[in-house]
Amino acid sequence: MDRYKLSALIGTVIMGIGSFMGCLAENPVYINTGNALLVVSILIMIYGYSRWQP
Amino acid sequence: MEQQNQNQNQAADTEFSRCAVPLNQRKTYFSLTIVWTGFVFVITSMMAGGGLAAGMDFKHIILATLGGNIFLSIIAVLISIIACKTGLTFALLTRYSFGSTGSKAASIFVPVVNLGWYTIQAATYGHFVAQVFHMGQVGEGICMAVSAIVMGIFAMCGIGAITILGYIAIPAIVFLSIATAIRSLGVIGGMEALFAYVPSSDMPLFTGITAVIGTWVLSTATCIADIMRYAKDTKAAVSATLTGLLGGNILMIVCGAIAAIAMQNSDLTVILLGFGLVIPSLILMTTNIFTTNAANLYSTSLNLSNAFKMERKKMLAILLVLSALATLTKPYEIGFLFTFLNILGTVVPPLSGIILSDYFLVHKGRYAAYDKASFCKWNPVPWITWAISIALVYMIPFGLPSLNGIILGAVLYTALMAISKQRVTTNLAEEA
Repeated sequence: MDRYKLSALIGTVIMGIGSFMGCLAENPVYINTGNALLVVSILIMIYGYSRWQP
Repeated sequence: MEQQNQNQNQAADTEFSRCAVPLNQRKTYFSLTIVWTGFVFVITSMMAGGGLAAGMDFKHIILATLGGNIFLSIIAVLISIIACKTGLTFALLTRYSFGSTGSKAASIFVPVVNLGWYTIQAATYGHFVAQVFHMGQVGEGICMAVSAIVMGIFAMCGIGAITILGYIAIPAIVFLSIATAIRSLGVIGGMEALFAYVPSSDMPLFTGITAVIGTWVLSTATCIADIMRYAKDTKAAVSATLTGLLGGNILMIVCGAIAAIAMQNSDLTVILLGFGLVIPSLILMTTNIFTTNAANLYSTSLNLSNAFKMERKKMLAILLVLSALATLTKPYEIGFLFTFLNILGTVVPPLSGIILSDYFLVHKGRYAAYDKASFCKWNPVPWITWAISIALVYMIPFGLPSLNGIILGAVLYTALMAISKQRVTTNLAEEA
């Protein structure tokens, strides 16, 4: 699996985790971690999907 | 020299705005679904869900959403089939019924309304950003105008850029919408409390269905052709169309309704910020509005390219300036949005009826190849049909206005074409 495909898929999984953590967590630490994961996942997905698309 | 200019124009027309999409440029189901679903995922659908929640209980919201989307799917599937089989944009398809000059006038109508949509969305986004960062009136105006211009960049870059945007935006929208709905359910007190919800006012089911149809009727009748003309086969086009509408649009409206019931407000920006979800809501709004507006403006530019024969990017620049100025009228307010949706739900369906009847009934499901056909300049029949249909839709006191409109458009057009014996296209090969 090339690095672009891997980035796209990992980015999508991280986005899923970040979204639910950011929206549903009660503890501010988890909320902020979720928000950070969301932002990071978008950067990883831009890198991946700009070169690889299913 | 003329031949050389023509070749240069064709080379510059990388988005196939004035010809059919060649078979080697066609796309798969997955690729089409990403672009179409990105288009369907839109904040105004969520706001429409919020509007339904103001006048309906949850059971009726589900019924109105299902009814509206089934209706939209039928139109969208039929238009997709035409677009896939011909490979033509909506603007070029109208040539077969309106004639070459008539098509230009008809294809101006679509971008004007599309630009209205674009402006509402850009204003909604700018209003949201201004609220998040506590900007004043001036800041809000600047945010709205800048949003209108920035969103146009993806349309400038074409279908490739919109596809990449869709791959990133769609997972974000799905995850965040579901998470927002789950959070709202927690506020309401679970599923039982959701179904026990009693609205403050009473909205008839047909009004709700018309509003749902209004959310997407313009795109399912027109813009979808500009996306599905890239389909490899009709199976891919139909599947992608249904995924976007029955999966995407229903998800958006229901999530919007649940969030609105929880917070007793149909303004999504207020709802999301009320939960304290600043970053997720900023990402949700950005991905949601950017995907739709990029495809919306892309379709607009294709239509205007047909009408004015002007280079697509120059036309886009003019449209972006106009839209940026129009955002300053604050068209994001919910009352304005619902009036706009209801007018669209009445005016556009007869146009789809005309296009559908022209392809499936008048031409028996077979158009002459675009490059081998010559068109008459003007066919008055679709215009007369459209005007009579709109008037009748307003006069008929029963049924669903959108459904009445599409049936009237199709029946009147077929009858008038048969009576007038108008011939819009001639196959050049047959003539020779």
